[in-house]
Amino acid sequence: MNAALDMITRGMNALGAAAFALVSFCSPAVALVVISALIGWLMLLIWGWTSNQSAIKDVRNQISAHLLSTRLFKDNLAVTFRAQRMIIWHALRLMLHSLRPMVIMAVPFVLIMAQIGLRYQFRPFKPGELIRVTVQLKPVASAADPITREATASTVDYEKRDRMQAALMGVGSRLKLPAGVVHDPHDPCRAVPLGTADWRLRADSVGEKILEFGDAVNAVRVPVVIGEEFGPISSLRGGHWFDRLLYSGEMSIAESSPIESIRIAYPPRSTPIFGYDVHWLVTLFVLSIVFALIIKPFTRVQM
Amino acid sequence: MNRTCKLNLLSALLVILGAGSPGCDRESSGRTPVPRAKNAGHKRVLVLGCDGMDPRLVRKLIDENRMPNFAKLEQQGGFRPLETSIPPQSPVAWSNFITGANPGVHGVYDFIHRDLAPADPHLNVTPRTSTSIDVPPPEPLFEFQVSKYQFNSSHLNPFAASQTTTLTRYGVPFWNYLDERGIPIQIYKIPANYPPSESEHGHMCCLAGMGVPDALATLGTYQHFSTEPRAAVDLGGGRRDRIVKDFKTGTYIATIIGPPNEFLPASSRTGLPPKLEVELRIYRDPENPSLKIAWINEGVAGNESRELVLNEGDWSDWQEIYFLKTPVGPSLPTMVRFYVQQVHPEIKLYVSPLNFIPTNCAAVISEPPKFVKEIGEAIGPFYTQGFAETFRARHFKDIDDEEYRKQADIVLDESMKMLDYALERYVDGVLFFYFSSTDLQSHIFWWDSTYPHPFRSEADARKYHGVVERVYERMDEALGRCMASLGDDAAYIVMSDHGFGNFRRQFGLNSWLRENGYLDSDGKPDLFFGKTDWSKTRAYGLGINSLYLNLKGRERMGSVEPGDRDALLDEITARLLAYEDPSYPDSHPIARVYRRDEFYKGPEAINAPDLIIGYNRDYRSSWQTGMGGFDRTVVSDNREAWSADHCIAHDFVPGIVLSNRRIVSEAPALIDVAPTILAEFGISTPASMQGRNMFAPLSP
Repeated sequence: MNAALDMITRGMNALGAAAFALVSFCSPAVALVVISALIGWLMLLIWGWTSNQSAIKDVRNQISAHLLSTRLFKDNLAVTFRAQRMIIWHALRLMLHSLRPMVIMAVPFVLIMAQIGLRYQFRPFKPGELIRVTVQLKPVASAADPITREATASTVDYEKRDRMQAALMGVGSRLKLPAGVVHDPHDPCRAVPLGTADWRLRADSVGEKILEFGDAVNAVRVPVVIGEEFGPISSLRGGHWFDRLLYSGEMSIAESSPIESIRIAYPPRSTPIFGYDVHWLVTLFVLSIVFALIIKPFTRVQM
Repeated sequence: MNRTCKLNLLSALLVILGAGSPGCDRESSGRTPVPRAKNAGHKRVLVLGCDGMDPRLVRKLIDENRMPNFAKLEQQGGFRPLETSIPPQSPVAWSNFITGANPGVHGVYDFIHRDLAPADPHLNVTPRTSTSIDVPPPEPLFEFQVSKYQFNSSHLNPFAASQTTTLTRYGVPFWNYLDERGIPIQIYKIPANYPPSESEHGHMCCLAGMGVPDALATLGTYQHFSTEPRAAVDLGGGRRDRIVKDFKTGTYIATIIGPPNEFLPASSRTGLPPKLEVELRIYRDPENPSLKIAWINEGVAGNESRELVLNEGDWSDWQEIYFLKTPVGPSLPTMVRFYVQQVHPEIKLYVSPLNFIPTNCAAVISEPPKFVKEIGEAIGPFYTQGFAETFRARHFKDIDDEEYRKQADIVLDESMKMLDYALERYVDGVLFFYFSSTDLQSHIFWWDSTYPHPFRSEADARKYHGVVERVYERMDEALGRCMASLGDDAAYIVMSDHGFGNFRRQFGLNSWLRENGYLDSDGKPDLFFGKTDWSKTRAYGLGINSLYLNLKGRERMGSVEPGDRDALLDEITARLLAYEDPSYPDSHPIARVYRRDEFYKGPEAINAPDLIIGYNRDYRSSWQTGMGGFDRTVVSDNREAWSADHCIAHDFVPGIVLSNRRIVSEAPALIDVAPTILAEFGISTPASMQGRNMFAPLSP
């Protein structure tokens, strides 16, 4: 699983880097518009290739015909109702014909969105800004196996809690800081019931700072980006496979490491369009549809 | 290419160009307009209102070269004590300022007024707040029930809750005269103007200050949690509760209480709907003095999880807390600041009152309503409740002096940030900016008496009086920012509503009235809910400085014939003035007694207290008197953290006025400030005002 995820992540990171290199000459807002246009065009192409165009054309003609009949025979209630019923039926057929291209597009577009999200979801920290990093440890198995040994559920819970506390106080508390990054003297804050350790860091200079968690054998390195530059920002290393697909540009954490994931609470990025601060996903969604509709007349694709 | 294609391409081009622009200007993005006045001639008048700034301390600090900008104004125009209101209480004084008239016109006489027609027919009178009253919401047009939730037409209006509050400060505010002449006015945090009065002509922006409630509809109720064994208790302005430990998981749980949920039926026991709640999950580090606090904002972006990590002694930034009212919404948006007081061995956590979120405000606290949102978008969240300093937590000893100082400094820092925004936005017309810090830090830290402080050592009393001096220096810094921003052409008026004094001894007015045969009550717990024989009661105290006769035809259970009123007032006045503090012979707790007939002129004078008590220096009414309560002895030591006050004889605590315009008037008064502002714009003093232009010589 990890190897497959790493391969996908590596490939998508390379593709993302190449695509954004092409629009690196313009501002992030303009780049988002250009990307939206490309996605709109790409969606239209894939739609054209993967959908049953002749069937869609037929359905649309049927809908047009029934719409026309409602206008022509508006005095005849029976014809009007029948035409409306048929319009609803053909609209449902149109939706059925949309299913195949949408399913085919879903996976690649989620990966593309993830790459765009890596750049537009968060911004780097500013020098001096609070950086909160959360390390999530893997669940700790209990020594008391309730199947083979007689132990109450609560005994198992207490034991698990004690073992988690030991793990947090051990490897969970180890962080090697790079030069120029300091942490709060009372760090980390270890929440035993959650199995997390939180650090509060500050960096005094711009650049990519590598934080090293865990012990020497299972060290997990995570970059923290400080500065103003636009680029990919990974807020997560490890964790659930779906989160990793969506939020991480990082490789897996070794199976042997007690660390499950490392999350960095980057501040959200603001990319105003027309002066309005709209979430990048909404901008992308709206603009890609607008561009697809603009391009459609030139492509003869039926939608 | 057909016409549709051309239009499509044009649209796409516009989209691209729009995205590439650095952002449209703020005017076009819907900012509250402050229209330019053609007849204003770009005249600028800045008024800095520093609540409770005392002329003696200002004089001292100017003389010590610690307030260079104040000194500059004094050299350019003048510095005078400013006669304050009778009584010198903030709502009264700021109403004098706003209307340019005495309480007989604006109808605000005290923090606490009496309601002559209480809902309970067994009560003679009840206390109520002075500047606003709650009006019952209108009958709903329709209502229906789904499961246990009740819906009605008023739920369609998100501002329904605030619309049930009505401003009861009467008179014509000075900004109305400017507004009708098209002169822009920006007002920040002004007291005694909640709900904010409307701008008829759209030239006035106002953010309401003192009087704005928290989300619990109180003047500020903090919540204090601890793992120490204790029962939940409502302190009236504060609430203490336990942090419960889930021993199985090691998680600590605290519950923040919100306002009653109006979607649920009222309980038969309390008569109120159950209160909204948000559960905090608290995780404590086994060794380090740090906590992780997590909660869920239900109904926000699919139940948004929020968490933060704080060390012992840390104040958090503003944190949004949403109370979900029904499973399908809406949620009440609020925000709080957390303060981690202690982590080991016991957890102690302070949660500030639930403030409204400026950018998503659930009540109308500004005029126009979107003004508060614009400020919030520009400077981030800030205290929206009127009394931002957490003096109640200090009063109830849930925080100490140092913690109070830090919190009060946060309030002051926010005000400074807002001042910078106001200056950036200000073009011309009038800019009024209010600072509460000079008042609410003085109430706790002021002490210049020769007597020992009730609980601080002499060194500590001096040290904390130094905190007040530091606040004054920061006011000088604020004035410096204004001067740097506006230059020498603007007219500057720096003013305060009253000064300050020590509050060493407290006088129980109702206890004195009872002891002298004017009041018949067992005093348990107070006038209203104890056994009070109103037929034998001739006078009672309610509010900080107010004394009322129990007059026939006015009070529901009145006992004093109107014809006996004057003689009785003369008798009480003489006996009050003659009274000596038993512990300090020759010390008279009461220095002046004001008759409303002599001092209040206007249509509202008829509702005023019959007598206003002017306490002597070092004295004030007792803590019990304000709400109609009794004390064990008539005079006793004040041992509260609130160890300084100004609710005494008005001539002991004048405010200040400084200006770069020459102050001609030898004895300017608060009611003169509004006519002076109007005169700067060529508007002669309106008939509704009783003050006069302090920059102009007195006409013969």
